[in-house]
Parts: sequence; structure tokens; C-alpha cells
Amino acid sequence: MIRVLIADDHNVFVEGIESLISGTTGIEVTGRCYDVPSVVASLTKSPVDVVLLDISFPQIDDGLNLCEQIARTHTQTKVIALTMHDEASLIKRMVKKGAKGYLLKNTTRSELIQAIHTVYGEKQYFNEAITHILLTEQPKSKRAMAGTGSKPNLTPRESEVLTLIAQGLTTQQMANQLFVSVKAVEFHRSSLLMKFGVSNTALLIKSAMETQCID
Amino acid sequence: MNACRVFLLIVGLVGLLQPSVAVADAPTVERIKREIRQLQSEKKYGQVAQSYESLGQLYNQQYGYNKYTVEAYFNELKNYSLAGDSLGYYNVHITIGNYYTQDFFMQPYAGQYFKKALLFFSRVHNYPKVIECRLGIANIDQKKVPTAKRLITELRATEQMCVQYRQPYLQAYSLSILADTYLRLKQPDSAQYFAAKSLGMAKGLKVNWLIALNYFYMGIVEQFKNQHKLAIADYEKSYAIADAEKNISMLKELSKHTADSYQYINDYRNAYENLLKTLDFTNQFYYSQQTKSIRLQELDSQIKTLAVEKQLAEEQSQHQRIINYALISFLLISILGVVALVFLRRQQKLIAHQQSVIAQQQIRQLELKSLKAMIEGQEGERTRIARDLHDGLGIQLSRIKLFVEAHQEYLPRSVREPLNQFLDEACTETRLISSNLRPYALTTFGLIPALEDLIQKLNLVNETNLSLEHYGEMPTLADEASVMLYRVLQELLNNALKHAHAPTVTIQIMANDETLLVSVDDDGCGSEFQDAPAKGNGIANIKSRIAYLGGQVMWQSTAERGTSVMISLPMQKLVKLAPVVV
Repeated sequence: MIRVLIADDHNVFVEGIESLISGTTGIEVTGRCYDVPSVVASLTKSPVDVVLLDISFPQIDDGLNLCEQIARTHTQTKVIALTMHDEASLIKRMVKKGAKGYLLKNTTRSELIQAIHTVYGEKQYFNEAITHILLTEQPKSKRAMAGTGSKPNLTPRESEVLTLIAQGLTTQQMANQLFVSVKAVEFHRSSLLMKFGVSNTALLIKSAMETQCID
Repeated sequence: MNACRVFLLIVGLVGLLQPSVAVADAPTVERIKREIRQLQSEKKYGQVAQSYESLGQLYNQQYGYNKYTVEAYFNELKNYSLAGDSLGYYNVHITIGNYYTQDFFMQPYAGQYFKKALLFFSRVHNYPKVIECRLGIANIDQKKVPTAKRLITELRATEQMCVQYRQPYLQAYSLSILADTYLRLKQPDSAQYFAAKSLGMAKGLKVNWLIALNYFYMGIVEQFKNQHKLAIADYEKSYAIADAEKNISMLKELSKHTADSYQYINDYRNAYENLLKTLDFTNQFYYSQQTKSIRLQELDSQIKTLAVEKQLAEEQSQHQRIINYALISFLLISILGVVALVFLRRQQKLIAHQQSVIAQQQIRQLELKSLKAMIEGQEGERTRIARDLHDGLGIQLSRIKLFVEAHQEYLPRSVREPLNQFLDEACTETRLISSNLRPYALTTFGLIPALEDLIQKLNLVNETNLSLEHYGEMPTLADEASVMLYRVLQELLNNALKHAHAPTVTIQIMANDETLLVSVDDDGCGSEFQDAPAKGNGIANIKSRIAYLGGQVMWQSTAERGTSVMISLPMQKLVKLAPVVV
């Protein structure tokens, strides 16, 4: 028998889920909690196998912290996030905090039961949509540091400006040549300096040559 | 004869001063002096001068040729100059000239006085006075050796002027000078003619001194003719009048000539007597204290005149100085006034400028305040609606979904499947709207995760490939700043997706300690943003939000190359801003 605890601050929803699960063989709803402290207390008193945890409980952080705490203190208890939120940032964080499954609240009965069984069996459960989100490439994040040798992505405009800087043109000359305003050239120069993590043009050219952005 | 001629020339003209018969007494002198003191204290210089003239005449009557008279005349001179009365001033010149002519040693000075007066009266065309001056000068000139022939011509001309201007007294005088001159030229007949004519006129006018003088000339004429007895008779007539007038120089000459005549008729006793008289008068005249004093007086008077002139000059210069000071002070005050005006005007301009600046700042503050209020209100409302959607409608939808799930065995398959699909779509839509209204990740995890979510969601529903790159250490931004930047980027992405038709859109965020640079580049078709970026409410919103954050935003659009939006923001303001009160 898999013992399940439903934690959600909306009691209608708790009842709905319970009615969905109840009657299923091998699964028993042993606890219903409507706030964070009662979840902790209930788990300490009578441990369960699976917690269906709302993340906005009522705040996002409450759900995240609770998930982390359960994963740390009740290693036998598996957490399945059951939430309205489908943002990548939250899913990834929730998984990082130790959630074994992630379900949206418009889940089906079969999916819910399958998820409970899966996590009880020491596996992770994510449906197709969630898996897709989890696998989506993270936006490129670069921490520029001089001398790291990492090559930043340059926009076409930035490449042009960089080449002209290396040729020794003044801002005004560059603006004339590229048919853009002086301010725009200044913006591109600043962005280049920041992307390469350098403080002046000489270092910029050195850095650009090292990373072979210019010849 | 020549020697006696020299003495003969020294003939006083005291009579010009019209001596009165009445003998002045001391109380009268005292009275005039009192009067002078009184007038002086009242500063009536003209009247003081006139009183001095009377005083001088009184002294003359009492003592003849004396220093007190001269002193009185000089005081008169001084007072006329103080009163600024030129006529009186130069009249006194003539008086002094006449007075000095009595004394041979003083004649050069007398000439100077006459010349000064002549210059003045010629200028003002006062002909009677001109005549008087000319006669005075002629009287002195004719005593010089050798006698100038032109003197006769001049004197005849002067006499004609006397006739022209009806000055019988002066005419008589000029005739007598003519007689004297002819005598000096040894033409006794002409001399006799003129002396007789002058005598006739003098008797008509009852001018005693002139009568005496003419008798004297007549006597000399008789002497020329060797009619010594007739000469003595004439001299005695003259002597009688001169004695009455106390004209010592005249008396001296008369005695001398009388002695001469007696000598010719060999009456040595009378000759001796008269020579003794002559000696006596000579002594009286030359060695009297008075005569000496007068000579000293002239030198003294010259000093006094200089002193007076100096005083006048000083007064004038002082006056001038006062005027100069007044002018300078006026000029200074004017300059100060102008400077003050300029200064005030500039100050006013400055104040006006400052006021306008302050007003502009206040307007700007108000704008920012209202913008802030608007944004806060908007964000607050959005948050509230998002929560209602999420927790209210979302929960209800989930509940329906769960209910349908729980009771699906009661529903036919043809109903169940679409119903589930509709419910799923409704849930997704609700989440999307809620998330659009208020991305929870923004306040919970920050700008970058929220943007990542946004891009991930937009990528799901759009063909355009959106990408986000960020460089540098991104500090935790204030809620207000995060929300604003998020909205700006949301708007920019919407614009790019709607209008650019671009295969890719790249968002770049670059941060360092001082600056945050954000750029959104698409490789779409480009537009006319560069010329009119203010079109559309969305762009106005972007501009006002960036301005609120103290940053700048630029649009750079090139046809066939796409659009770049470049935003630069001061980091300091983004971090420091107070969090939005929700």
C-alpha cells in the first residue's frame, strides 16, 4: 500500500485529487495538509511514501523550500510537484530541490496514478511536455572574463565595429562608414568591451585577437 | 627852460576825481567804515565797493595825494571783482590810473591800469570811458621825451570823439592836454589857442583844477613870449585855485615858474620867496610820509592784487573742483546705476532661468511620479488579476478537470475526449494569461529567469527563433527596475514578432558595475523606426520607462538588415530603486 499525502492550500483541490485517487488499489491517501507547518508535523508523526506538493504554498518559495526539506529529512518520502506553473525556471529548480515528479494540475487520473507508482519505484516521472521543457537548451549565459579565452557571440554590427576599431577609425568615421549614429557606435563599443570583459580598446583588440575574433 | 619843462609835465589830475568843496570830517569817515563793515558781513560786495570809493574821495579831499585813498581804491577793486562787476572793476582802474598820474614815479603803473581799462571798454563799446582811457594814456605819453608827433593827431581824434559822444568835460581835458603837448613842442601860439579854448570850457563847466591848469599853461605861454608880468598874473590865478584844492604838486610847479618869471624881471626878492615856497612844496610832496607810503602802497597793492587774483583763482579752482567732484560723482553714480541695472537684469534673468529650470524639474518630477504611480497601479492590478486567474479560475478549472476525470466512466467517449481537450486548453490559456500579467519568476528568481521563461514560452508558439545571451555579473535588481525592464523587453519582443518577420531575434544583456546594456536585434525587414520611433503607444511606454530608469534607448533600423534596439542604463539606479509596493 502506497501512502500518499496531499499538500495544497486550496482544500477544494485537495478533495478533488483525493476523489480521483480514492478507490485505487494499492494507493491510500493518509494525510491532507493545507499549510507548510502541518506538512512537516504530519510527516514526522506518520511518514508517507509520496507527497503531492503544491508549489504556490501559498508562495513559490514555500513549495521549493518544503520540497528541499522533505528530500533532506525524509529520504524515503518522494515528492511529486502538482502545480499550475509550467515555467521552465520553476520546473528546473523544483527538480534540483529533489522533486521526483512534476505534474500540472490539469493532469489526468491515469497520469497521476502512474506518476505515484513511478516515483514509489525509485524513478522519476515527467510527462512529454515537461520533459521537452527540461531538455530545452538553457539560454546562453556567459560570464565574460579577460583571459578565459571564451569567444563571445558577436552580432554582425558588433563584428563590423570591432574590425573598424582594429583598423584605428574614430567613432565619427565608423558612424559615417556604417551609416549609423555616433551614439550607436559608442553603444557597440561599450557592448564589445563588456562582452570581452575588458576596460579599454587596446585590451579589447588584444583579447579579440587571442580569441580570433579578428585576424 | 628844459629842466623846468620836465617839472611842468608833472601835473596832477586830481581834479578828475571831482573833489567836492565840502571838507570831510572824521565822523563821516567813521560812518563809512561802519557801513563797509556792515555791508561786508552781508556780503554785498558791490555796495562795499561803492562805499570804498566814497571813502577814497573823502581821504583825498582831506589829505590830497595820500596812501589811504589808494588803499580805499584797491579795496574797491577787490570788492568789485568779488561782486563780479566788470564795469565797476575797470572804472576803478581808470580812477587809480588818474590818481597815479600825479606822481612821476607811478606813471608807468598808471599807464598799465589805463591800458587794461581801455581793452575792456573797447570790447564793450563804452566810448565815453574809452575816451577817458585814451586821454589818460595820452596824458602820460605826452610827458615822455621826445614827444611823439602822432600824439597830436591822436588827441585831435579823441577830441572829435568827445564832440561826437557829447563829453564836454573830457573835451576840455583833451584840449588842455593838447595845449600842454604844443608847449612841449615849443609852439606857444597853438598852445595858447587850445589852453584858451579849454579854459573857456572849464569855466563853463566850473572845473576848478582844469581852470587852474589852463591858467598855468597860459602863464607858460606868456613866459615864452617874454611877457613875464602877465605870466606871473596867470600863475597867481592858478595858484589861488590850486591852493584851495591842496594840489601840492601843482603848487610846487607854480611857485617854481613864478620864481622863474620874477628872476626874468629882476625881482630877486620875490623870486627867492617863491623858490623857498617851491622847495617847501617839493619837500612836502616828495618827502612827505604820504608820498613815500603811496609808492610802497603800489608795490603792496600789486602784492594785494596778486593775492586777490590768487584768491579768485583759488575760489574759481575750488568752484571748478566742486563742479568736477560733482561731475565725477554723477558719473560714478551713473556708472554704478548702469552696473546695478545690468547686474539686476542678469540676476533677474538668472532667477527666471532658475525658476524655469525648477519648474521643469518639478514638471519632470510630477511626470515621473505619475508614471511611477501609473506603473505601480498597473503592475498591482496585473498582479491581482493574475493571482485571481491563477488561484480562482485556475483552481476551478482544475477542479472541473478532476471531477471529469473522476467521473469519466459516466461520460460517453465522444464527449469525454473533446471535453478533456477543452479543459486542458482552458487551463493552458489561463496559465499563459496569468504568466503574461505577472510572471512569478520575476519577483522570485529575477529578471534573467523570467526572461528565459518568456522566451521559452514564446519559442513554443512562434516560428521565430528567440535567443537570450547575457554577459557579466548580473546583480539583483530592484523589483521596480526588473518589472520595468521585463515589460520593455516583452514589448520589444512583441514588436519584433509582430512586425519584423525575422528568422531570429537576439536579446543581449551585458552588465558591469556601472552600466547595464540591453539590445534586441532582429534580422528582419527593418522599418522606419529611426525616423519616427515615437509612433505607437508601445514605443512611448518603452521610452518613458527607460527614461524613468535614467537610461537611454536608441533605434537603429536598416532595410533588409533588421532592427536594433539599444538600451543603456546606469546600474546604480536599477539596484537602488525602492521595491514596488504591491
